Parts: sequence; C-alpha cells; structure tokens
Amino acid sequence: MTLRVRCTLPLRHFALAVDVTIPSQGITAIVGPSGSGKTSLLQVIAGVQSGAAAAEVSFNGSLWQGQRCEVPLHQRRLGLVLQHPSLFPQLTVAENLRYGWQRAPKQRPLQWHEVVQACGLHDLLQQYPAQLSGGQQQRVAFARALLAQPQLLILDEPFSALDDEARQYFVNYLRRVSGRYNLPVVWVSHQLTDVAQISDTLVQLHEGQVIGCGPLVTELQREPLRSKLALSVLEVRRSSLPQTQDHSWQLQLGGQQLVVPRPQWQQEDADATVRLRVFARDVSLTRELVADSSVQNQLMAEVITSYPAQHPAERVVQLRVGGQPLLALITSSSWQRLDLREGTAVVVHLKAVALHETFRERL
Amino acid sequence: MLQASDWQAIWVTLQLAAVTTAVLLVLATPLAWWLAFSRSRWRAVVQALVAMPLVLPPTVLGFYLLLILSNNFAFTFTGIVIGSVIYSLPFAVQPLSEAFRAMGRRPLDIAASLGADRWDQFKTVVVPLCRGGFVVAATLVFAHTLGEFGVILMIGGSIPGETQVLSVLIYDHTEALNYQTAHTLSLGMIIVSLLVLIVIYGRWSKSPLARGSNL
Repeated sequence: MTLRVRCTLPLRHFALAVDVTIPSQGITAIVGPSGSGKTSLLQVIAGVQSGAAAAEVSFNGSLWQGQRCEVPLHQRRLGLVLQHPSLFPQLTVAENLRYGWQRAPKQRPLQWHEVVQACGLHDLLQQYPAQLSGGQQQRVAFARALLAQPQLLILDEPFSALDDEARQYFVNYLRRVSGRYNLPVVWVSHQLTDVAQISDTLVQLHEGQVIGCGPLVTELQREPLRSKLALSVLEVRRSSLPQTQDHSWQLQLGGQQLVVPRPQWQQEDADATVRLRVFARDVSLTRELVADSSVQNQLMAEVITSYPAQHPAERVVQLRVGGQPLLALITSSSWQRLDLREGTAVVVHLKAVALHETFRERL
Repeated sequence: MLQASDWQAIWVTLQLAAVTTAVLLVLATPLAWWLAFSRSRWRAVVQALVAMPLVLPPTVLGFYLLLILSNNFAFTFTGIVIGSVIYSLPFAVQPLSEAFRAMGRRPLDIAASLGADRWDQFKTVVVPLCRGGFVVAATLVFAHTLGEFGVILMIGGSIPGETQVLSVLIYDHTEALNYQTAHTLSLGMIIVSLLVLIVIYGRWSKSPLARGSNL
C-alpha cells in the first residue's frame, strides 16, 4: 500500500520535480531547508497546489490525479491542516468541528468526545475562531481534520504555534492516533526532533528534488540530515524477562540488554517495540567495558566509518550496534588515542536516551 | 399630487430594479468566479468586455441592443430588463470577483477536504464569507437600475405600464414643463436611494465577518 507522487511544478527559483513512492501507513515526514518545496509537495499530494502542476498522485492504487482523471477533493477523504489554520470564521469551534464530522461516512472510528477531549477543546466549543490564540486555532484545525474521519492525514506545521509542552503532547497524540486507527500521515515540521520522534519514513527535499527517501533510521544517517541533526533512532524491544525494577525498563537490542528509566506514559501493548532517540553527543566510546561507570548502558558495537563533524576538533563516528546504525560524536584526538578505524569493535556508552512509544511495528 | 400614471412608473421602476438584480446575481456569480480564479489568457479580454458599459455612452449600448432586439423584445419590459442586465453587469461582477479573490481558494480547499462538494461549498463557505460582496453587488445593481435612463429610452421608449420608468417619466414631465411633479418624483428618488444605501451598508457592517477572520 503506497502513496505515489510524480510531479513537476515550477516554483519561484526552481522547479519541484518529484517522483517518490512512500508507504501509505505510519508517519512520513518531508524534511529540508526552508524554501525547498516541502509545502508545495504537500499541496500537490493534497491536490490544492496553486500553479499549473503536471502531477500524478495515486493512493493505495487509486489514481487521485492524473493527466485525464481527477478524483474531486471532497471525495478523497483527506485530513488537511495547512500552515495557517483555516477555520471558518463565521462558525463557532463546535460548528467548525461538526463541518467535517457531519459529512464523514457513517462509520466513525474517531469519536467526537475522545478527540475533543484529547485536543483540550471542551471549553472552547462556543467560541469563534477570532477569539482564539494561534495555538488554540491549530488545535481546533487538527481536531477538525481528525473528526472528518480521513483516510490520509496531511499536516503542514500543524503544531508550530504551540508551546514545547503542548507540542510534545500533540506529537505523541498524533503518533497514537496514527497507530491506533491505522491512519497514514504525511507531515512537515521544522522541529526535527519531533520528526525523528514519531516518523517512520523520511523524504528529504533540496531545491525541489528528493535527495533521500526511506525509513527514518537510515535517512537519519544520510547527509545533510546526518550532520544537521546528529541523531540516531534505535528500535528496541521490551524485554520479555520479568521487569524486576519498578522505575526502569529492560530493553533488548539485538541480544544485548539495556535499562532505561520507565517512561511517564503507559504502554498499551507490553510486547511492542519502543524507539530510543539518541543524540550523537550523548554517545561515548571505549575499547573495553568499564567496570565502575555511572553510565549504565554499555553495548558492543562496531565502527563502520567516521567523518569530520561541524566543529573541526570533533569527529562523528558511525557505528553498528545490534544491526542498527548509531552515531557518536567524539573529539578527533580521542579518535586517534583510541586508534579507531573501520571494523574496530568498541563499547558504546549511552549517557542519555529519550524513549518513545511506537505502536506500529509489532514484532 | 402624484397621479396613477406616476405610481405606475414607480411600480415599473421597482420591478425592473428587482428583476435585474435577481437576474444579475445569478449570471454574475459564475462569471465573477471565473474572473477571480481562472488562469486563462482570455481573462483580460472577458474582463474588458464586462467593463465596457462603464465607458460606453448608454446610447451606444441602447442603439445596438435596439438593432439586436428589434424583432422580439424592443419596447417591451423584457427588452429593458435585458438592457439593464447588460448595462449593470460590471456593477455586479466587480464587487463579487473582488470578494471571491479576497476569500481565496484556501477555505474552499479546506471545505472540500472535509467532504463538501461544490454546491455545498458555495452554500456554506462562499455565501457567508462573501456576503459583503453579494450585498454590495445587489445594492449597486439595484441603485444603478433605478437611475438608468439612456439605455431604457433607446430600447424601451416610454410606454406607460410597460417601459416607462421613473427617470424617463421625470424627463417627460420636465419636457412638458410639469416641474412640480418632476420635483416631487426627483426628491422622492433621492430620499429613497439614500435610505436604501444607509440601511444596507449599516447592516453589512454588522455581518459576522466584522468579527475578524484569519483566513
């Protein structure tokens, strides 16, 4: 099941020329510098681009837009949240939400009360859009898109006006909704850590061209994202061993154990995988296991390659641990002192990890 | 003071203005829509054609309409409706296409993504968001038709109860040196026009859009 997009669309300084196939499940993020055509690509997928595009968009085998035929927008069942939340100004929040809800198919997996509550809109229902803050408007626009029971969610900077805490909440909620209702998402966000937190697939754009498209884990290792973010994501499985300690979880990564603080959220499925987000600067390397260290998690890894980091005194080392790629940021002098080279076996010390739930990839 | 024939002319005038407004709202809406959103290279040509009645003398328009309509509709009420519709076309099309352009495609795309088909979008998005444009268009057309003279004289003449409207009647009274009646009718027209404009503009500024929008 895929979403296939082919298009050429002249933009101001270059043309958006894209031929890309992305899985129509899970969360796909389009990333790239500003002005690289991310919003235009989203608009082409949604079929709302301005300007004459030669576009071909097919979703799960049905042709939405081609040379001759076009499925009208109102039959595509998209959840569309564009950069400026276009709430209908003449309607209250409740009426805005009801607009899509009433026109949705009778089968409505996403329930009114659940979405209204999750988006914290209960007290705003009788207000008009002009009375809301930018963040509140974004929450309403997001909820309205969900209540229309879409088969594809297209989000352009949907949470940009929210503060960090609220954004974190909504990013997690998006992940949960996408997983629970099997709802594919294509989104754009400037917050790359949010992108890395919940996306399964990344499409990297540069001046209208796709320069990378693939699973998050591998795209994070590809330039320019690799230097820019220096972040790795490890998919790990919760250990089937009895969880002895109350405040931590034991996880398994390719036969190796690691222990992380128990997260705040409740995981719905005890057997699911979780996602570890590790910044390269939180990874250090030794040649041997260290007995007395405050760092709890030491994993065996292999050096794949290394290259200069942005700072001339530093080096990024690309490693493989439990079959998954991992980046470490160390000083160039350490690289020499430890006499590291391709194929060297090293011990990886994870100083800090962020743990995120995933629902989709059940093993 | 006013005689039956004067009241008859008032009635014909109001009928003409109402019918012209109704016909033009129906005709001008799709045309204004096309002008607001089309990327066709014919847009400039169509826009110029629509604006022609603004620059042409009414007699030119009336003359050609008389030639075209001479077999069927000349000197009938239908004939002066056709003339009025063409003469007031820019007054309907321009405010509407301005309103459509100001609204932009965005709210329509959003409505469509939420499952609204074209007609549904028109009813639930275009009409409420562009209400101001519709009100201005209707007001201008109505008022402009009340004051129409040249085109009607050319293609309608001055047949009482059929094509004799107030402006023509005032002209007839003046020609006949019947200044008192001309005075009454003229003053009445000034007052009525002013009141209509004040009421409609006053109501328009209280529309929900005055609450502000982020579209």
